[in-house]
Amino acid sequence: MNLEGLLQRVEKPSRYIGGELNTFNKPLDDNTIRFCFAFPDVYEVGMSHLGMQIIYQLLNGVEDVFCERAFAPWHDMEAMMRENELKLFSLETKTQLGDMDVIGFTLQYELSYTNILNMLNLSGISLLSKDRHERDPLIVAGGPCAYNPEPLAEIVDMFFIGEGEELLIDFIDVYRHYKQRNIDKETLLRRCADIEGVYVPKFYEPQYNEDGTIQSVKTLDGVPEVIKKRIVRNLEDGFKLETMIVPFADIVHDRAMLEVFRGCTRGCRFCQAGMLYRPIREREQDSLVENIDKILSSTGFEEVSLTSLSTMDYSGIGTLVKKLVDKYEAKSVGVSLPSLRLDSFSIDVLKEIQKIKKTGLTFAPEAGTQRLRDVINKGVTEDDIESTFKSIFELGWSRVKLYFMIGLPTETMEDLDGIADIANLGTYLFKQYKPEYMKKSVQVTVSTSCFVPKPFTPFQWMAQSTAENFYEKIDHLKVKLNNKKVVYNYHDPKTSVLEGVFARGDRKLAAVLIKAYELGCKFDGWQECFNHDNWMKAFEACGVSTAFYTTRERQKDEIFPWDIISPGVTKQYLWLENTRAQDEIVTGDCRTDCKGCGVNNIIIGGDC
Amino acid sequence: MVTLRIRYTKTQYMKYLGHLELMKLFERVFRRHQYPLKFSEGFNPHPKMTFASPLSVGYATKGDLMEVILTEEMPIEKVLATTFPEGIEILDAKYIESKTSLMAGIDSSEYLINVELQTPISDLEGQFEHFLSQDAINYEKKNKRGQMRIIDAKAQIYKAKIIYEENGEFTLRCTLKTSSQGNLNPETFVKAFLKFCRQPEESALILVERLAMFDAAHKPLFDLIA
Repeated sequence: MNLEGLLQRVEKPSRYIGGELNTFNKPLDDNTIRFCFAFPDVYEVGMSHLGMQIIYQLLNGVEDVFCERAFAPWHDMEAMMRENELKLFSLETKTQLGDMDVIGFTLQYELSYTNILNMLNLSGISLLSKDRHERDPLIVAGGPCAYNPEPLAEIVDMFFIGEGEELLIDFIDVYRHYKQRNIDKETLLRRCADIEGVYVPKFYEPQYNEDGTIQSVKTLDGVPEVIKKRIVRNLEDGFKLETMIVPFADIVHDRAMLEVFRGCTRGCRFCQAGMLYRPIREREQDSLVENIDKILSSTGFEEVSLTSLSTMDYSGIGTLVKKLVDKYEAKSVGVSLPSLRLDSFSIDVLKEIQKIKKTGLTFAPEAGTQRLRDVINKGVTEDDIESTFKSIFELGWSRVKLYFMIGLPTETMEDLDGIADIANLGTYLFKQYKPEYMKKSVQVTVSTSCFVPKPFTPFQWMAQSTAENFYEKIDHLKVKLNNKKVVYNYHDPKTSVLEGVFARGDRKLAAVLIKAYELGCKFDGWQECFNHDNWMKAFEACGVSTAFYTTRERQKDEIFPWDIISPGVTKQYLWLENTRAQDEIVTGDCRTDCKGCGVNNIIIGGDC
Repeated sequence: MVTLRIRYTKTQYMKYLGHLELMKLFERVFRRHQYPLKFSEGFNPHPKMTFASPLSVGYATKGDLMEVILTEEMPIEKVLATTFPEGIEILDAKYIESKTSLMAGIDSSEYLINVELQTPISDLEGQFEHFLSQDAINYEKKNKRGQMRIIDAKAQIYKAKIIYEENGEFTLRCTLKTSSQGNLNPETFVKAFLKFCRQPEESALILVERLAMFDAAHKPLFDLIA
């Protein structure tokens, strides 16, 4: 059966057809560098990713580069493709991935790694870097999980660390020599290793201690000992995303997106993104307004989301939102913010936004007590929470979602009880403050996720809770959250433990990953697809213990697999923050005064 | 306020768009081309659009109809110049006065159905004639409550003819009932025939293309608003 036959039978065929508004179809010649951006999850997830939109437009803006897209086919499509011996293809030209020059995976989530293997296998490409030949596609990867590339070091040929806008162009400039056959693959890899922000694992050989920790990393052929991340220094200079692909299927985040700044100055100690994406770089307000206009008029989106970490921290957020609402209200284009701070200023902005479309409300206190919020440096007070509840209920909202983490360092049962206290406070304040006309009853949704210590955070040394421990805490919360107006959702601990293994993993995990894949593991991030037993079998078969990666507390001076990478924030600073966490000392916002994290000296070479 | 009626094609890969996806696409294309859309009231305003007898996913059309309400007239040449992803094209557009709904006027649709089989049916023409001349052409259909019930398609088949046959592939041209009082899905029709011939229906590749829609007097629907 051919592709047409498959599309006639498969669920949601629009995932596989391409041809959306603002996609490219470039004429090909011998010099065209064919790059396939591969997202190791389904279309609906991948198309929601802003980074993909940026890279797609960026690379297609280069004359001799044609960037296409591929996503992980859902189970039904994969089964039919295998049955009919159809290889994984790009959406734009339906070209087999094996015929591409470069396949670039984005690493957004540790539990998508088996999908990378599956996509390679579906393309007929060998899984291990060493088994691939001169003319096989080059496999590259970037994204937040690339900051600890080691679990994939034997699979991916090279990693791009940090922001891609300038880095990818530097890479293409070197790749062009290879495409024109002036250099061989070995030379290509070696030259790329000299590009700032590129990590080529084959030139790095970790040596291990008897206990399995790293003794040292041997570098070969004079490659840099530490790979510093790349950033775009000024977001107003250089590439700006001015149009987007308009997806067909009902994707997760189906709207225009505009980055208002990069970085974050809050310094929450659990947050990897907050450490990785420093320093803060804001875009200018007028330029943003103009940029949004370009995106909307070329896409027809009916909603625009202002994105960044902690978007409410944008200096001019109030006036920006007001301007956008005034401009787009008549055209019924909604404005949304991914998250709101728990403070009165956020409520004022919210009032503006709801003029066009009323949205759901989500807040993230993250922890149930002031003590624990101080440990994790989440600058939210009891008063903030209380006054936010009062305001939103007065304004006529009756539903609110609250996000928390469980298993945070130093957490006690009292901290969990604090989660229930906050939820109950919400339902109580609703009765006091709701408008008279309000007939609806209140609903407070509490969602908990399981804390996963991540590299390059002050908690990178800490032990992760065991799955049993997480379950105990969830059971405790189920009992405590017995208020009928409170709904409790929780994330499954087993997947969080696996995420914990790979987040702080090393090269020994490649064998486990491949074994798990061979046992049938894929789409591990999807609850209904996750097969814990097969994963445990894979660890056992490879003689690798999960506890080594998860529940083991690390020594201060342990060499981590990710120490070959530098996000600019120093290990000394992270350790300092770790000790302050233990002492329950809050570290303030670094907008007002520098806390000495290191990013200014190491990445910028000057002030932030 | 004015009502704009549009006749459009949906072919090539675009036939794989589901109905909701198609509506979203039209909305975004209209916004992109700055149509003066009329929005509904309420917390989640959306444009007022109606699609006549939406097709199943995977079916192509050479001329389906949709209507959109605008706050003021937009020049027809601008409407005709609207660009969609490859596979969708506006063929014709008119402002209409009629208050009758788009759906109410539809009675039947004409289709081209291409069928590819693993093994050819011997004496296809004879078998087809035989199939059509049965007293009742029964097929099973789920009702709203999910129960299977038997429906006789005999009265829902207006015209049906085999127009091409070669090596297990054949093409049907047929006019089938498409209304709120009864609707015969072309694939269901073909599968009933394959069952009659004792052919495995699962392995058959059935490609459907709608050619036109008609009212109860068998007049092409778009012409009526001329």
